[in-house]
Amino acid sequence: MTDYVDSALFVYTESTEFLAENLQNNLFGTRVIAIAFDSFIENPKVTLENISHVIVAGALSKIKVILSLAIEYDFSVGLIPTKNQKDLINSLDLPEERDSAIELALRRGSQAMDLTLCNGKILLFKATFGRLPLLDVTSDANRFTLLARSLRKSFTLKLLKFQFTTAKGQKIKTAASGCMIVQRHRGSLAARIIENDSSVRDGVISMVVSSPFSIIAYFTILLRLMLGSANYSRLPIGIGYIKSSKITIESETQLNVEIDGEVVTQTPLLCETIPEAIHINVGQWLAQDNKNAIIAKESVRTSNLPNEKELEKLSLKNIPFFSSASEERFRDLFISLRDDARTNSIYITLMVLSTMLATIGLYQSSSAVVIGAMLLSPLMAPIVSLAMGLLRNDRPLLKNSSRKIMVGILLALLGSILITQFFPHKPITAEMEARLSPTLLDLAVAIISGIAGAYSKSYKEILQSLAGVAVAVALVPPLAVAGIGIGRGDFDFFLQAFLLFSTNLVGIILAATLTFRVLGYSSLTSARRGITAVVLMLAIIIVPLYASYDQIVEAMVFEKTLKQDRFLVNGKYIIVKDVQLSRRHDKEIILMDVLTRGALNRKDLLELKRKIQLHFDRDLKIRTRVFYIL
Amino acid sequence: MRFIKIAALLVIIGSAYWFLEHEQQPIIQASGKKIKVGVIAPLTGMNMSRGRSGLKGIEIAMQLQPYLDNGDAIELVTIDDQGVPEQAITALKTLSETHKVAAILILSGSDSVLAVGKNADSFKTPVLALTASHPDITKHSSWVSQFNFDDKFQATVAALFIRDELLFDNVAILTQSDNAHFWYLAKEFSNQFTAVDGWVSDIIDLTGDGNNYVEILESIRSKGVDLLYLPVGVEHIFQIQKALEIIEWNPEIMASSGLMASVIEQQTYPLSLVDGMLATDTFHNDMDLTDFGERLKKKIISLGFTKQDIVTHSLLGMEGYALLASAMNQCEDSSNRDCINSRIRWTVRFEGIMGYITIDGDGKAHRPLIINELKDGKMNFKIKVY
Repeated sequence: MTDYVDSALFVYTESTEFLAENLQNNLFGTRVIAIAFDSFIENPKVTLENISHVIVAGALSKIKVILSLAIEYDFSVGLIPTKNQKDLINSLDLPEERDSAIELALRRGSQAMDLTLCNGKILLFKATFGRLPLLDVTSDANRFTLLARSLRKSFTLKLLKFQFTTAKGQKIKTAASGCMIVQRHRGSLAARIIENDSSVRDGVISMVVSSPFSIIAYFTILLRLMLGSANYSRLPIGIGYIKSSKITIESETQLNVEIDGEVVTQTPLLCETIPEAIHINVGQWLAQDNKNAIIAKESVRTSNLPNEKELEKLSLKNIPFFSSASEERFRDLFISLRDDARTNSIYITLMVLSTMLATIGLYQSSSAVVIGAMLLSPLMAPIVSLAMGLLRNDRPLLKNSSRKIMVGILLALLGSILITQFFPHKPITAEMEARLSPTLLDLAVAIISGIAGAYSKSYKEILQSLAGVAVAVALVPPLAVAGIGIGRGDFDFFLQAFLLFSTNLVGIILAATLTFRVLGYSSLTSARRGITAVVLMLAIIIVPLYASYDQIVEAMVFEKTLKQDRFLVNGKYIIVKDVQLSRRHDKEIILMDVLTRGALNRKDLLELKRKIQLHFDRDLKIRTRVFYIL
Repeated sequence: MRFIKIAALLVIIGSAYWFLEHEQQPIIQASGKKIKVGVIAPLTGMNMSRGRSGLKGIEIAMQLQPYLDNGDAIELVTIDDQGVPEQAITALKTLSETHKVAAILILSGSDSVLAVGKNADSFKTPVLALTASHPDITKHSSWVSQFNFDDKFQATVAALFIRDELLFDNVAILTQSDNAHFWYLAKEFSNQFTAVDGWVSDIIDLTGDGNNYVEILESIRSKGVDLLYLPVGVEHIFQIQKALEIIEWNPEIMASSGLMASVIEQQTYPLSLVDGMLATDTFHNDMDLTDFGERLKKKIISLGFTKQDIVTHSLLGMEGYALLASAMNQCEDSSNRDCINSRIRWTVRFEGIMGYITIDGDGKAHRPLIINELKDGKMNFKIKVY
């Protein structure tokens, strides 16, 4: 059964005086004495004689004065919020409806709660300093609309140097765009991080530190907070979280500190919690939470923030679009990439075996064997390492991976040249021909594979996908075809196949470099030279690829057109059924399947050739297969 | 600074590309000299639609190319032969002797051109027959050249297409012996079809009045005919379609060249009259255009014509004018009839509207024939035969 206080003092301001009558005529048997705020603070000691419960309604600043007096004179507090005091209503679980709020305020059994003071100022919900676009907003507006608005603001975000000191004396040097101290605050994105990890009587202050390395990282944080669950056992990259009974905040430049929506002080800031300092009538949810509250231990989770070493290289300009990071941050990945860049006997063995397999498979014209060679090929790994080397301008990584790729290329060429010598007739198979006309589409495959390669390498859990990437992009078979070209003494053959290999190589390097950049692996210093070199290589390679692509499109159009054509040759009706146009040594060859009723003699075939050349204005070598209509 | 350099480079590349795209034809300075070109066309009478459409095509092409390369202006002198062979001969005489034209474009049918051919040697004026397709029109004179494919080619292709691609064994032919062009097509088709083991159940001559179409078609149907080959005029086509409706028979039909153009030009019958028919033609509605074709298309649009205004006969008029101008351009004296005739006759790979046209020393054009399916007033491409 609900119990109510016998008597209470109602402190009102000009805007809340009208509530006095409601309170005095309450139905709960509580005797209420009303007094204006100004009269009360003139001599609170006298007014509070025989009073142990004070009800207050008014501006937040007036409520805070009453709360500070509550500590001094040890009385409990009931609050009647106005409709626009949303933060107050949310944080103390107060009813919005007036009669319910009066009923709650008159109850006996207020809850003991911690009170946080920052530079001596009472903090009820939150304190912010620096800039945290969207993270600290509690607006009811659509979050995605706010996200769009924050985009503009995020381009001017800067990381500032901070030093945080906890109650136990732990010092954390880092950089952040802004921080938010959260106390009984609900609704904001930052508050979601600590939602299940704080209470009103845990004896600690909770501080969320936002340190986005880039605009992309910032939006990743926002999206994760907006879409993710409230359980943040793993904090998003760029978010730190400190819990301590006392936190000292020092910033490299003096920053305004906004407490509960008003700028009231500046950094340096000392915030401390006075445990169970006040007793307030709160809503049912908060009362339940309070019963289960336990004193929290100090906790510092700042591994996702820039560390001291990174601070030295940190740019003081606006945060970049893409993230950058130190090698320490992704130690495992870099160890793996450095391993991949070293040439060793396993690599050489695998390279020789995959070349042998590829070359024989090409001569056999066996797709299965060639795919086996692709899977066996170890070339992808050093290429991905080279991409990272280029991105970070890491000379040892660049040097080692380049050397390893060169060794691989030479082994593949030599291996396939040697094997070619064992084939006396050196036939050109369909598998070889398929690798002699690289186009822009091959570049597209290489680029997508490069993205997939870098992405797989970045996440251990999907590393096995690299095999699929190797098949998609197929590095060794084109090299083997190039070697076969040298073995045949056919420079054009070599050139076409090597162009395909170069396309794959450059496409993978460029795409992997850019993928690592997007994923935030670039160094804190600029590495433009390396990327520029790859882009230049790409630009050079695109020219023959475009020409080749253009030729293929033209050939397809020609083939399609010719399939709809018929020829009347010396009275014989010839139906074109199938056409394939290919090029060899600057000569165009068409292979046509034709249907006809009458027997075609040499004269007819020459007339057919004359007609084709007359109407298509191109010097074609024609090979015809004739099917007779019976 | 680097940004400015890149921007400047892009502007230069962009400008170069724009200039290449908008490259203008060289401007020709008028010489003040006029070269007369004669046009004989049936502008009144039974075939006036064909003549008017063809003349419209010639005039459009002339607007695109009013001068020869040497600055000489081309002046058209047009005479209406009413589709009557005798009047065509008179027109030839008038144009050659009175107007002293450098060459003649003739839009009349095969009967008129055959008559002209028999007299052309006397006037020694190059005559280019734009629409007539009888194979004998170049036979009687070295001064007459044929711009379209001939009927032998057309009939052979139609017969072999039906036999080898539609796989039909049994056809009937309905034709009219009062028109040399249709009569030749019927005979040649029959010869070709039977030569490849096909069976022609009937060759019906529809010349004259009083045909009982229902009776004729009932009789043909009773012989298990798969397809009707119809080298006939539009009026007969209409009567045949009406009779087929009455007897509720829906056989495959193949018509001869220029049918869709004739239906559109005459505006007497609905376009649905020919829906579903196959027909040989020189063009189709979805053809890829050459550069010349594109320039003509722009000109046609700029003159406010719609697709319906431009039919096969108009397109042949445009191409024929352009070919004649090309031949005249190759002559030092652009009015030299001998030279023009020889250039016409030895045209190699002239760029027409949708491909190359070659005319051999016998005055025969080598150009593709299209088999279309007619539907909703459109000629939908099926195959092209060279």
